Amino acid sequence: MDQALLLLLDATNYVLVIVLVAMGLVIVFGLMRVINMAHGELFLLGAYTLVVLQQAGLPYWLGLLAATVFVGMVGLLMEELVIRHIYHRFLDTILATWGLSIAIKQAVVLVFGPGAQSTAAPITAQVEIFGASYPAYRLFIMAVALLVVAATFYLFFRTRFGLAARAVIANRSMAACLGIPTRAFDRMTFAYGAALAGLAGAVMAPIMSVDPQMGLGFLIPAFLAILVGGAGHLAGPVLGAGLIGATDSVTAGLWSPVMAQVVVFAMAVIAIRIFPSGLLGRGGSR
Amino acid sequence: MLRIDGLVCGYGGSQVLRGLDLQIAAGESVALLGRNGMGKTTLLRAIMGLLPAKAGKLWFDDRRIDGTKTEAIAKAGLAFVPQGREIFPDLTVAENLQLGAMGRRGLGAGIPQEIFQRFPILAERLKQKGGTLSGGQQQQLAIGRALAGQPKMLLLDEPSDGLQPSIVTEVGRAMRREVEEQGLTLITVEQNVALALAIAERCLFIENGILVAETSSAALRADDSLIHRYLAI
Ligand SMILES: Nc1ncnc2c1ncn2[C@@H]1O[C@H](COP(=O)(O)OP(=O)(O)OP(=O)(O)O)[C@@H](O)[C@H]1O
Ligand SMILES: [Mg+2]
Repeated sequence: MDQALLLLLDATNYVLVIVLVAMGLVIVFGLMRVINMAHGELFLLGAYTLVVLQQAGLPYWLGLLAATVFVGMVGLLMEELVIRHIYHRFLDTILATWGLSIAIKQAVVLVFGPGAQSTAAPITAQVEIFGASYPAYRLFIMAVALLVVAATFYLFFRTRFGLAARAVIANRSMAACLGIPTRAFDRMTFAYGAALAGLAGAVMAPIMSVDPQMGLGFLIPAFLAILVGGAGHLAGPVLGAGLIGATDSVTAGLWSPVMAQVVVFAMAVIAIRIFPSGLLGRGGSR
Repeated sequence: MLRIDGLVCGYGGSQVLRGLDLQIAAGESVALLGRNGMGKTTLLRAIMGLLPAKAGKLWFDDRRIDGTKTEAIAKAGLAFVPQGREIFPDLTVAENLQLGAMGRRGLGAGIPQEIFQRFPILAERLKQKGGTLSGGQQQQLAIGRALAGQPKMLLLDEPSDGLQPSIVTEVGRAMRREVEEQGLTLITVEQNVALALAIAERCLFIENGILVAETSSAALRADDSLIHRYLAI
């Protein structure tokens, strides 16, 4: 019984972590049609921001805030210098962001070296859940993920800012004809996606090895989640992450991590065969 | 209110507008008539800054607007209802109107209630997706969305396109009242002469990218030779 509960908790944790890491990617891909290959490196920058601030003796919470803001600003810069010139040129966005990802990674290696850095979690307690002992920080991560999803949905679907952002994405020239400053919304949407990557990096840093490769491990499941769930609606990738994450951790728990990878890929391939534009994809914007 | 001098504009290498001149006074309602492909839509798109002018100058409210960004032109008080309407099909009627209101007047702006007096059907369909409306309702939504920004001047591109005659009359009446009661300045591009005459007091004829004739609506009602020359096929 305990075993099953722990498995369930781990699965939930993994799902929410993927959602947290994928959310920024989803916004940038789902809303702006840009595949940001540098998303993992924005995640990395978030983690390293925390490392730097903690080493300077500043508290964790400040690091979390700073990582979000700093990486959001990096996103702003990225959009202004690179992305805005290549919107709607699908392959170019992939190549350009891939180039950026390498540049950022190498810059991190130059400054910090290739080795692992460590950060300390602000919460080290264990909590009792249904008789099992579980790290409280993992619960905190889950709460952050849920908060990020809720805040993002609220921002894009319940506020006037979100309405204008969606209008710009749906019909750019018509939005401009209504007086909506389209470039400002591009910048803000991209920066928001980047800021979420930074937040995710800082949140995950204390339970990971913070090294220049850390972005990679989550990027593949995050992309799979988008593929399986579909990018037609923000809820698609969240659903995709649920499927991928649950399949992965349940198979890993009952069988082995290697089998989990195989099963996840098999499931993704089958899902994409049956629903070519994703479970919630409508293919309308293609 | 609007002045255009020697506007040259086109797509790629081809010129569509070849040195077009136009002046419209505040509060005036003008119809722009001409056969298919003569450059009517191109002119409206050029005024909105959606197409760059290759030569020529444009003024709106005594301010140069050539080379200005579309959103700034809209903020200055020009609104556009494009051919094909281009409402946001996945957004509700209320959201479409809201976008029109806040695009020009800021995020805090609400939908002016006069829109619903002008087009009562919109009030009944507020929660419905724009794409589920009938053609006539979509046209009313597109006009309502433009008016929600309380523009000084409206560019209306073929509002009768694909609509039933009864709705065409209704739209014509609503536009006429907007001009007379609200002092809206209006350019209506039309192929439907009856609608053009119902909305505008002055008619301009465009052929091959320049204005070739101009007449008052009253004179055109009395003598339709211009229509035969510039509209009949
Ligand atoms: N996007 C475009 N790219 C290239 N050529 C275009 C484009 N849009 C229009 N044209 C051409 O420019 C010319 C003028 O087109 P425009 O749409 O301004 O005509 P119009 O007077 O509005 O006609 P209609 O009554 O059919 O709407 C036409 O010859 C058309 O083929
Ligand atoms: Mg046209």
